[in-house]
Amino acid sequence: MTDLATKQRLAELVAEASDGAITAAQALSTRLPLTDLGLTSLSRMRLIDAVEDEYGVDIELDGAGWDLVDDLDALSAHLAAR
Amino acid sequence: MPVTGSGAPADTDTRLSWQAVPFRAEGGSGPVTWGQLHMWHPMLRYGAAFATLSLRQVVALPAPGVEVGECLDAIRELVETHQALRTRFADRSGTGDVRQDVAAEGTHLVEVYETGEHASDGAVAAVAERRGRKLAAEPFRHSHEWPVRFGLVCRGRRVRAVAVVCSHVAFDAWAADLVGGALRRLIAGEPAPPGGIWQPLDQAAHERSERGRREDARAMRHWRARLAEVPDTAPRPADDPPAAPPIQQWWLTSNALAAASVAVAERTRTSTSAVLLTLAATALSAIRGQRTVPLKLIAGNRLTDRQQRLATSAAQDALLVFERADVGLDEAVREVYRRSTSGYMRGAYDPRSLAALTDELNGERRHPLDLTGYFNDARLAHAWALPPGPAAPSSRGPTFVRGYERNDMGFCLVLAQQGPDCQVSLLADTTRLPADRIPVLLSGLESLLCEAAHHDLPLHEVPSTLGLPPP
Repeated sequence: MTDLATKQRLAELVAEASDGAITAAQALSTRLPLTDLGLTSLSRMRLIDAVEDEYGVDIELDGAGWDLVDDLDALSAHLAAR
Repeated sequence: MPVTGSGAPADTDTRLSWQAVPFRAEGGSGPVTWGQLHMWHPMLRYGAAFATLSLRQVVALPAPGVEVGECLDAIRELVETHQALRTRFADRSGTGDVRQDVAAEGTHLVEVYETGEHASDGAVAAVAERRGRKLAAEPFRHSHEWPVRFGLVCRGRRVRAVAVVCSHVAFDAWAADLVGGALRRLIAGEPAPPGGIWQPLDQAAHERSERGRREDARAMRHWRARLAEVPDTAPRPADDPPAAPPIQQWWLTSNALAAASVAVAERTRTSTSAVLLTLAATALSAIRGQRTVPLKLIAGNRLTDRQQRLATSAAQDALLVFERADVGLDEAVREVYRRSTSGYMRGAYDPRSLAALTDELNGERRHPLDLTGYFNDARLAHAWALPPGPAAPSSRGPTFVRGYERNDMGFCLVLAQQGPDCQVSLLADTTRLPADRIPVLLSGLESLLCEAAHHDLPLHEVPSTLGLPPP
């Protein structure tokens, strides 16, 4: 899967995790951290749960993972590099 | 239709009778879920005192109420829908291999209490509360008893309230609320919300699947890494004489405290839960005289839609390891927000995995890990429901709730919403925090937060404001 395809899939997961409060299109196009778009702690946890499950990775929020989840470019690059 | 029982009264009150509610549904058997097992061991340790943890609620029905038969039909449908309401639990081999046996058929006995035609609404509500307390007085015998009890309270032969008591092995607060809401809808003839039912046997099978084992392993990696941060040092000795009772819980009702925590949460872009958790952790750190302390967080484990539809215990312990740094309260809250979110993410695991891990770590330490400090955000919505208008400070001040001879918790701050009232409670072991300091700490929380609502405060000032020893 290319980085772009991964990012598109992650954007869909953001929309699901936030119950549509952040749309996939917003998640794809924003240059702001997802927190600034209204990603709550519950949505963040749901997103990580979905990403870990789909990609078979561990993301620790109390390390660099917090900022990683705020930035889909960084997150898709992280998934591609594993 | 339900079958009328013998009507033999349970006591000398002739207004009390029992109705049999037979049910028939799909049954099955399997291991208990992690959430059920999490409460099984406290149930064994507490013995009869475990009954105090049963979850009571009253489902009040609007006038003119419903016929007894209609209400019993609704209970039958509820029991047939949710496995946990017709499950028995037992460790038949005595090896700790606890099983859940979901009955395909059986009978619930439902208490029916008639208040008389002229009882006021207030009297009906008071009777429902009292019947609920009576139904909760005895511990559940899980090997041969259903883990829920129902009591109907009638006025003029129409049901006006249903008291529901749930075992804390089979249900947590979320699941009990889910069952109460489902019963209310069934009685009102409303359709069930969309989405299928995720049952306890499904959950147990999921936990033993490859995906479930990965979840358990991830959680244990997290616990191992965080617990490694806890220094192997002795806490301040617990040398205060125990009060009577030795473990005490006090409440403070204060919408001013709640509103102030909202202001701090908004300023720091965190949550009111993180604000109160930071203060709880700072207090525990001062009480123990240790800069770094672990706190167990009660994790609801209701992240996904599927988990939110599960009517059984899912709550377990998550972990926060807090380090009291030389920073302002705002920065500490932001750090706790991140670390506690990470902890809550890893709050679902096989309890036996955690027991093995802590045994292993304690075997390598001179001072065993003290995991008796807790934080419980018991608000189902995880936010305060503040009524409009100015938020009133506590009018009565802290009040004593109850005492315990023993408890797994040595310290626990609880957030709860009771109707329009925002409440914070503190349970403490009086050998570590003298009894007269408990209400002082709660009042200190209110005044500290009201000040912090306007500006940041140095974290090192928090203990003295709460009446605790300086760091």
